Amino acid sequence: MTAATVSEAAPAPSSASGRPGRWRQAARMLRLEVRHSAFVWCLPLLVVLFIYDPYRTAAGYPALWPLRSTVVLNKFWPDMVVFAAGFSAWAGSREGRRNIGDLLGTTARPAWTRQLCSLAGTACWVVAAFLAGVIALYVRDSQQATWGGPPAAPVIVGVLGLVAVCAVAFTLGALFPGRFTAPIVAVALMIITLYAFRQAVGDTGGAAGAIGVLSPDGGVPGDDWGLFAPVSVGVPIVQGAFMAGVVLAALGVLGLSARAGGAGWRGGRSAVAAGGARLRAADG
Amino acid sequence: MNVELTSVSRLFGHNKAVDAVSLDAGPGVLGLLGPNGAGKTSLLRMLATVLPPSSGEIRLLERDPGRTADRRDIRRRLGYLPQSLGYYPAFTVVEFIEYFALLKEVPPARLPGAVAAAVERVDLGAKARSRLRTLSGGMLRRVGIAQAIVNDPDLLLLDEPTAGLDPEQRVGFRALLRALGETSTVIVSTHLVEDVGAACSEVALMDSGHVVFRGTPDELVARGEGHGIGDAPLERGYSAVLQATRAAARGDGVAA
Repeated sequence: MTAATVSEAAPAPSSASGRPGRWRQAARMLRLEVRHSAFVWCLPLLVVLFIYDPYRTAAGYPALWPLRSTVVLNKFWPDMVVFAAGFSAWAGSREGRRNIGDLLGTTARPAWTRQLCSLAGTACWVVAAFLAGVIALYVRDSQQATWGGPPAAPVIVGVLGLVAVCAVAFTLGALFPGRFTAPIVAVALMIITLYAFRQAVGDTGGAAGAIGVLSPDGGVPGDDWGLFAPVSVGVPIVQGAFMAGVVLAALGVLGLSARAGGAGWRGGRSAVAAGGARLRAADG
Repeated sequence: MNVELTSVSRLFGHNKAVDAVSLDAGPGVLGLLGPNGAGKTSLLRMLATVLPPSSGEIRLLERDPGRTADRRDIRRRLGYLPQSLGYYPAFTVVEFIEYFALLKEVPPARLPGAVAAAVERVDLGAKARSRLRTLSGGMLRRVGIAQAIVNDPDLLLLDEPTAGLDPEQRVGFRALLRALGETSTVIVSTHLVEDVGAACSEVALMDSGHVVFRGTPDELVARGEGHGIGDAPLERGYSAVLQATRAAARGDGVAA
């Protein structure tokens, strides 16, 4: 170790607001998180799963955009949920598992923004993998379909749904850190999306039916199916709003955790959580 | 004064880990000595703004850590090395230090230089691109020191910094401490009295949550003159002060 002259100390900034490098700092943190996301390790398995489930299933359908695009939400999205949930929960529980809370607690940046960067690091990979799969499906369809174009609604809803899954799983990981959190959260969210929502789709009456329509998995009740318009126009909007509400509520809960920072931050995050809950209530 | 504590106490349930400690410190290296369970780590954690005090007043860098804006400002100018360093095994040395520099809000323009300087100062240049999982315990300790000094802190808190370092590295580390102490307040909690003798300008000795001695290393040595326990003069001073304190406490207890 060297006792060389102490390098010139920079003047301490008086306030975080309005600092020119704030976004550059966030971008650098995000770059680090993306580089170290564990999600990369499951990509080969996802590719295999993608080829054997949504890609092959879509190939069995007539080359019609509305029909083939149903695999995006009915097959590909559920395949990704378990991975998105598991790896997001793993990332969320990282600080607790690594016993680094004390050290991180002495840093200036609020815990919430630090955790958002960590969540974004995983969510970027999840969304990128999902979009890559959708592009592969749509490219093949574009070569075979004779008219029409790729529907954007399932893609938007799918992305929002995956971000919602990531946010919920990350929050659970951060609140209950442990090595078993990730598999438990992954299985739990998989059951919720694959089983509970599907059951709700089967029951088209009452509140359960509404939940089924809101879930990106399972599409819409069978009575509404048509060859050229399988999804009624308002459904993706409602689904998107619902998922956005889930994301906001999850991030709000994350911000309310004990290590998240001071009263001002906590107040702001409470408002975010309340906004998310309001959105969900409005959707319902 | 960079550190001002007034009757600071910290309770864990019914256990008083820190009991009415009043302490102040300006630039220089203050060694915090004491037996296991004396309250050194709890005191350091309160100074690191991780742990709020149960009672008493703390002022750090002329700011109140109880206020959010002040606390954030303090943390930008604070370096902390905990006793048990958590780390992310997949990060490289440079990435880990850069991560903490970003969390400490080091301006982006200064970031690469600050990270490189911190790595060089702990002699980890050759391992800069190595993943943390591949490093030895002593090297990880040096990574911990590097993340603590990456923002050129005005207040540096080190909990057992030399644990796991080889003798050569400890000598180098003491020189680093002395250099840092010229401009900053450095508080070092340690069991190794030779570190205190070599690097610290002042010593505070804690026992059972109290500061039972405050002075220079020479004054602590003087307390041990004619006292038989301990191999080194500082060790004799250390044990003499502790024995006298405990004897006085027992006497009070009997009187009560």
